[in-house]
Amino acid sequence: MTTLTKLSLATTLLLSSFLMSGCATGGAGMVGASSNVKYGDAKAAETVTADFGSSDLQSTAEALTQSLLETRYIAKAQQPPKVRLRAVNNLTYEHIDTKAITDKIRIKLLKSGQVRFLADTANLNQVNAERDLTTTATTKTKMKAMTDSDYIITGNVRSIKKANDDVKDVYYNVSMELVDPQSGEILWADEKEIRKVTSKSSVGW
Amino acid sequence: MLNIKHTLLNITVGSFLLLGISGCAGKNQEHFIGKERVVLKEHRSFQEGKFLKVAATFENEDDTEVEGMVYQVEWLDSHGIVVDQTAWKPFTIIGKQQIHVVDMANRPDVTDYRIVISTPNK
Repeated sequence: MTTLTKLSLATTLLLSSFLMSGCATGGAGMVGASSNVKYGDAKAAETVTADFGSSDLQSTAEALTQSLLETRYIAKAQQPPKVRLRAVNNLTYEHIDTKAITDKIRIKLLKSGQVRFLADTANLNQVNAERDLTTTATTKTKMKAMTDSDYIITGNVRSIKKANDDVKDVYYNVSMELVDPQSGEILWADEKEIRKVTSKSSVGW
Repeated sequence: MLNIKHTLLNITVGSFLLLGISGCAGKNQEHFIGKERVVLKEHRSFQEGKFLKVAATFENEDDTEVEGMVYQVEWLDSHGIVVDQTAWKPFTIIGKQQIHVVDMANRPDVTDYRIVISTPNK
């Protein structure tokens, strides 16, 4: 076999393997590995815009959970208190899913084992429907009474925005409080403040 | 000769004692990604009820350069396994500024920690 023939055979093999592999490059368990979509760190600090983002949600939930766990009504409680999450009002000009903040706080508090949670008021219809179904569709005719909450958690999200031609400044304030529903007394309150500045001339860090 | 031996022994014992007192806040609890343009001045942990709490101080030792950084605390259990971590928290530190941070684990099985610091490429 001449050198030229060997070379053309190698080229043909290389080309055919390339064609057979097609455009869907990647390894086992991967689809579209050559596309522009990449998975990132879910906990990474995100600074795409100055709007309330994932980093703000995470840092707010962490700070307020930490503060809640330190309060004596939870840290020194004989039994883990039963808490119900109430609405956190969004008083800003942008859409913020405030339930995402309280849900995240609830997950962290449940992992701590220091708090028990009752169904949200938004989910009470589902709970009541299940109770009705139990008493009508099964042999069980009586249900135990629903339990009262020891505390409720409420709060507000506020923002102040200022901007000129060069700089845009956004200040977020997320405040929460732990209230005794029997007495109405506010037992704990804390806040998380976030400042974000967008500068047109800035090139970042 | 005997005196020299005694002095050497004292120095050795003293060094071991000092090492013991300084505790475990060693380099294995710090991890830098990228250039170390920000200094982790000190860090220590203590128990707050059932939870481990970490206090740390970062410093920008440069006079003029403004530095950006993010840090994350990894929470380890008694087997040294990372069971939880904080979100990456961003900071901007101007020259000679110190920033003090406190983070608390929210799981009772956390017994140790590691602070991971990352500074973006310039």
